[in-house]
Amino acid sequence: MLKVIQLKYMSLDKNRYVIDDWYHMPIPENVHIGKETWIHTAYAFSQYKSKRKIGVTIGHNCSIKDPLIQTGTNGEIKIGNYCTFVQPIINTNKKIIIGNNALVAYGVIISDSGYLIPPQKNTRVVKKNKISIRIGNNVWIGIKALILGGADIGDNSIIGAGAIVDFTVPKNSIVVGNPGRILPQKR
Amino acid sequence: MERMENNITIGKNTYIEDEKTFTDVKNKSNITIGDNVKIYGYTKFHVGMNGKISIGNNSIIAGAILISNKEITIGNNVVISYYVSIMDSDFHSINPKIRKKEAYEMAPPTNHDFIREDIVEAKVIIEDNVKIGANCIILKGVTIGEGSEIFAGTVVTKNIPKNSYVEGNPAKIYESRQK
Repeated sequence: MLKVIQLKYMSLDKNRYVIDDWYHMPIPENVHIGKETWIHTAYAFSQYKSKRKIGVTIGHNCSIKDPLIQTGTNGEIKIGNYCTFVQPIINTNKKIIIGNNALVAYGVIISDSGYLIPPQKNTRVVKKNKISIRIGNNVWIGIKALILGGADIGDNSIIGAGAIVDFTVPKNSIVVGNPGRILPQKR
Repeated sequence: MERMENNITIGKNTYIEDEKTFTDVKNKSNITIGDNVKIYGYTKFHVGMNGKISIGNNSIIAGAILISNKEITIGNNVVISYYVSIMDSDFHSINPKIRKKEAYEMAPPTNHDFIREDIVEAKVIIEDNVKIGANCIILKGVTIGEGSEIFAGTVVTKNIPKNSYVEGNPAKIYESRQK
């Protein structure tokens, strides 16, 4: 008989390995993950080189399916509660803040620069970190959109599929196109 | 790397992260990769029977898809980001009758090696020190000049001169960086 096992919490064992993971690496010590949050594999942190006290904080009840979280030595990422991501690539050597209830579609890239690659040699650690990307609460990001350095997306905004955002987006707005533009709204 | 085929030559200190990078390479094709190249996971080579791909020294390829039926040449110190796709052929005809015939030929259980008719193929050349941003698409017959930057999300269908900056879809060519 097949047994379907449902795990209530993301199951990390004592050495911070994800149970039943194909990639045999522990999740790094300076990664804080909230209750009932899922990161499906530790491969996410294969190119993670943050030397900060807390490099990545993820809130509770998030689902982050097959991500790649790549940081240089200064990188810092904060993700709120109840967020859903599918195969995102998050790449930073600065600071990225994502609010609560973000819905992020397949293959979205959130990165300091458009020419992102896994971090190469970098040993410099800066004390205070500049915020490169800020994403507000209740933001919906469409498939294969690019959120690049300088983006500041207000609450309740929608980013269309394939749009490129590297500018300030006010609250409740819709962004589409490459290069991205804010749609005028009739209300 | 274990189990490297004869038609793939790889230089010194070259790092290839994923085992599945070369699973779709046909036997008679030709792939040469230079020294100190880094090829990260998600990168995929789809190379047909007559395909040829060469990559220079010190280049970095992170998660790109290279599809070749003729020839793709990548120079030295080139940076290619995630989800970029580069192809040197249209692979299918504009004529719907030929496409219908091809559809039957490609479908299982027949052999996938067949001669493609009435397609446009042209070499893709990416010269030294070029940077290509995430989500770009580079189509057949394009030459990207030395030192150019292709910003993320651009679709490139025409030749690009040296040291230019390209952005948007459809692509716009500027002499220098805009921002």
